[in-house]
Amino acid sequence: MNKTKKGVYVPQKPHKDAGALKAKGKRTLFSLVKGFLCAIPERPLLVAGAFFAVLWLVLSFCEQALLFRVSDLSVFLFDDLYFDNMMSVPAGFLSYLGSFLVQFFHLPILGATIYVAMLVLMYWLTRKVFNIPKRYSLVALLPVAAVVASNSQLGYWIFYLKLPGYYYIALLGIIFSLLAIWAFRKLPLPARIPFVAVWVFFGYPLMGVYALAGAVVMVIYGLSLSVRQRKGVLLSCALMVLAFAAVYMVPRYYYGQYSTIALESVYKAGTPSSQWTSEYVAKVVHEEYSYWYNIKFYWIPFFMLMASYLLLALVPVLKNILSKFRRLHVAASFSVLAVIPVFLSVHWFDDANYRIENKQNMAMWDEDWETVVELGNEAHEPTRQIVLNDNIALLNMGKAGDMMFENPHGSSDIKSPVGVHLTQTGGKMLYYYYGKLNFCYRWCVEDAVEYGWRLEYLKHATRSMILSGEYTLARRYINILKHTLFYSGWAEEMEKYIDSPELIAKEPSFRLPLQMSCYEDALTVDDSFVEAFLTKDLMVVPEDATPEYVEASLMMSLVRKDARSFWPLLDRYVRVCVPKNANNVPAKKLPKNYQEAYLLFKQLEKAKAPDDRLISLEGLSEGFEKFFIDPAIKQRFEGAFISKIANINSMNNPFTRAFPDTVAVKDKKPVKAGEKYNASYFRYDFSDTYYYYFYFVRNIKTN
Amino acid sequence: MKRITYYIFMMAVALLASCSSGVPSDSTPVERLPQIYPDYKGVTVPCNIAPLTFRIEEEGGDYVTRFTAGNHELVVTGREIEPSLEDWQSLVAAANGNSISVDVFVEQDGKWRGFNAFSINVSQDSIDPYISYRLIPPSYVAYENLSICQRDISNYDEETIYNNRLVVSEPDGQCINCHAYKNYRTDNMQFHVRQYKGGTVFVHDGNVKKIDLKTDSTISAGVYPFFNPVYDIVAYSVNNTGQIFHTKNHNKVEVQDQFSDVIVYNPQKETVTFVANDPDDLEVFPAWSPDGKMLYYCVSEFPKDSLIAERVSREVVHYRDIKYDIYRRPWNPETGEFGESELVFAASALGKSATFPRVSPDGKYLLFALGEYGCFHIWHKDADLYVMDIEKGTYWPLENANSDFPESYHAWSSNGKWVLFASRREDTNYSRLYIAHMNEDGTSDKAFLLPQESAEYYDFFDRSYNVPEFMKEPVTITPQEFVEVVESEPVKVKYSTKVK
Repeated sequence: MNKTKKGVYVPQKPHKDAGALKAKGKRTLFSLVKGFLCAIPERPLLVAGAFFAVLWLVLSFCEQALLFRVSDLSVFLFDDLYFDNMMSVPAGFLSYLGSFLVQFFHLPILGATIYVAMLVLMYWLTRKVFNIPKRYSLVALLPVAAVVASNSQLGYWIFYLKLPGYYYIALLGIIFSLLAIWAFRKLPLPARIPFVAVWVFFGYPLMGVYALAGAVVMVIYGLSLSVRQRKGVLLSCALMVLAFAAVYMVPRYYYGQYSTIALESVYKAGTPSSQWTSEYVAKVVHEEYSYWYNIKFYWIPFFMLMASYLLLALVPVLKNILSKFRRLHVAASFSVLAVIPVFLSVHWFDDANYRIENKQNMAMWDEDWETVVELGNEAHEPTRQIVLNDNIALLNMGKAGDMMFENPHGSSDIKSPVGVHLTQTGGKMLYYYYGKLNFCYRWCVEDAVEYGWRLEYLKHATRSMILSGEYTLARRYINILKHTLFYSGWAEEMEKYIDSPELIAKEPSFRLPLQMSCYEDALTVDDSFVEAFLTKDLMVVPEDATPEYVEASLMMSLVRKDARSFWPLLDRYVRVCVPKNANNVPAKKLPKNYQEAYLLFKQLEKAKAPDDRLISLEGLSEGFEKFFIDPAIKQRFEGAFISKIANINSMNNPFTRAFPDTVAVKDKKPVKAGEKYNASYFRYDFSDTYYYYFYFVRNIKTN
Repeated sequence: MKRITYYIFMMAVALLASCSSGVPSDSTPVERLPQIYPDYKGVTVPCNIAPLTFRIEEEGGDYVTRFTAGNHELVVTGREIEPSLEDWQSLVAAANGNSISVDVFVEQDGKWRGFNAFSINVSQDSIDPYISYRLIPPSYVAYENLSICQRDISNYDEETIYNNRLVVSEPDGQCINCHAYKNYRTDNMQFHVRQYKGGTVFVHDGNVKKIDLKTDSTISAGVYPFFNPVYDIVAYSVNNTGQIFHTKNHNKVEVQDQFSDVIVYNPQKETVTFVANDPDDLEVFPAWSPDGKMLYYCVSEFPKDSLIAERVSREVVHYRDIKYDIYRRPWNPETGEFGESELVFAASALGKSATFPRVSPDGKYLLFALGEYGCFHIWHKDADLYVMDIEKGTYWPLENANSDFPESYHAWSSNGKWVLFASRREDTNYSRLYIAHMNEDGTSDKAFLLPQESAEYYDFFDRSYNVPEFMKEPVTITPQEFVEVVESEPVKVKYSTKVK
């Protein structure tokens, strides 16, 4: 290799094929690709740079919401007690530093920049420490990719991990270990013995398993170098024995010093070992197979990480063998380039609904309700979280009755080995906006017990306690938030409502939760099922319910497809929510979806015997419909929808029950038509209607 | 190099400032007491208490606090007042049963203001050197990172007796609760472990074992324990307990028993025996008298339904009607027989509910928590501590100890001069420990918050203290030794109709 004046390394001998291409001067697509591929092994740093650049771009611009959520599901406090608490477990130092760094994901581009910079440092250290020649340097990307995968694979685990600062723990642990291995390599052989002893003894409480793994790699590398140099082999062997003994003994010693770790966990401190077990996830039964349900899958990046470094540690001793392979660096480079994209794409939790949920969450904190609804529209089959977020957004915008069935509805499965409950994901936000402030607070506290206090919990706890009038308690959380880097300003904003409670009623963002808090206290439980609880709870409408409460109740009756609650709630809605003019005449029609529900449920009532009807139909058309029903909407339902139904008769069809007359007319030659067929047949024209939801969005699994 | 010079300069300035600090010679009097947190103004403390650390809650640029006891003076600068152990001990020794006067000076806009002095009274009554408590996040159904700890109250040293993180209990989890000691000593003690490897860890004359107190005749394993201070038996309640949540009420949760009885465990025979198990009543919170011959407990006559589902429904709707009275039954240590039950305090007749009876070591007073309803007063804002003269039957609130927030989980010191209890008065949600000096007439002096090394400790400490107990000595069995017992199979106790 030669170095040019500009400091760019160029190969001494240009690649044979590349030279040939130049000579020919032909630039076909094939030759370009070939030229590019051939240049890869000769310009590894450029390729590594491209890898980091792409990673930065993806994190900064495609995963913003995820990074924001990760930072919100963590907390770092500038406080001694916080430090002591972190340090009360082995590897607590990594958690402490990790939590410090995770907070920068709050500003995703900044967070991504720091994260990628740390990865670059890890890459550089790996090359330096293991003396990896430049032409082999892509190999050093393998452990980097493993670290990235250990994070990118998390998915819904971000809500459930009990390891603070997880995103940085492996990265920091490796960086510190690499530095230690570097120092170890520079030391004379005799000095390595005390060094390893000190490293394991003092490193373990700070870094847990990473100190142990670092020691193992260290001594294997030392032995490998000794064998290669044929110097001090015996001493290196002795050192390895000593190190292995230390790795075995030191964690056991610390087990007696800490009272916060189980003996069986001491060799795994700093990993989510207590959760990533078959027992932990065994309670969740998945109907279909996916590797995302297999807990062993999540350990693969860690094994890859360890295997990479063990391999690198053994390279000196294998050098003679490896040198026999010509163009090994080309093979190694291409292997790495082939493995990394595949590995990362497999371990990147690329779930559209998960992404939408996180983006919605970010928009909800910004009270950007239109974005929440727009995001909801991107889902093919949404999760319940997405649907519920949509509904909250629409309630806040005052457009629920017109738009609540415009976005897709459904209850898509969640790809996670653990049982994902709304209580941990978006349930607190839902409880807050539905005015269930005690329940919002309760789940903040419950989850803080399980997963430690997190910014998201602190914010919810603060807001919910301010609105419920528990200012002393709210102030506690405000004081804590004041010790954070990015939420001290938010905390001060909240504090002003405690200092001047009269401002609370004037704050527009508090309107919905306050209006929804018009109910009387009751003793109840939600059993961790937020939606099921809310839909049931909202069916009880207080005497002096606010318009928002009545509307939310009516919405829920539609979601439940519950005609029995629909009619009285519609009555309440008309009385409480519909504006009247000076003559007490309704000033506007019902919102579109309520009209559709009215028309549908009326149709269903018609199909019943008069005695079984929930409501008397006489007079509805003349009286009610005159004021509240838009003829165009009625025409769309009775004309277009029912006509279409008439064309797809089937004995198994749900319409046969709803529309017996229509079916009877066309029932001469019944056609078998499955529900899926029906759904697609109707989706194009009616997917924004309540009656489409009523018939074709089925098997909703509330969470 | 510039940076190093800067740091050296700053340190020198800081050192100089600390050396030159003194009480301002000229200050404008402020005719009120200063605001401080925790509120240690006018409290009575034992002479062996750790230094009281506090924060001055007055706006200002600089702060000087002067402690004066006899001829001894201690001046502390800064907003956070954290005297060293040595300084504090000298101060307390100088007070010698009298009070320490505290003057606070605050500098504002270049002028010093001097607040009215407040006193910290130093009692000559001794206090037990150790306390223990469970640290638990103020949660409802979740439990993670629970620990039972002991604290030397003459300093800030806290040790773990047991922590549920010492075992890997995922996914079931492990709850630990209800630590108790026999007569303030630790060679006979116990705590419960629930769910994973559940059982009662029982230290009997220094030997540790795990026992399973559930029998076919009793509704559950032992719950609320109380060691007989004289004889070798332990009273427990057995409970079928549930939690249910308020949607709006600030109390947030109700912990209710659907069924509960009182039993006695004989560790020598490994048997349990019913003391009170009327199917229509809820009996709970047993507590022995100091002579070990009288068992106090609480009784509610609320439920009449036999099925648990019916009881739950009724208790949910009528939770405010669940009232507990205090009863007692004499026990004959010779025969092991219990006598007839006797109503001691009819709280329900007052429309109240009394729980957690604790008899003073001299047998004169009964201390209990009194609230509007229910049994779990630590979540009831109206719950206060009350004292009853057992002989006269008169009772009164412990006014100087109570607040507008829950008070419960109280314990007498071994000499009956101090009461330790939990209160949520700081922020309504996290229970903290308070100690109140008891006077001869059954009243108390102003209670003080258990001091911590840092004045802002409680601002960030995210766990509640509950079930505090005084101890004459620390637990010497290590947490890891307890783990071995927890991991072992329990001794299964049997039901017996006789205690002895």
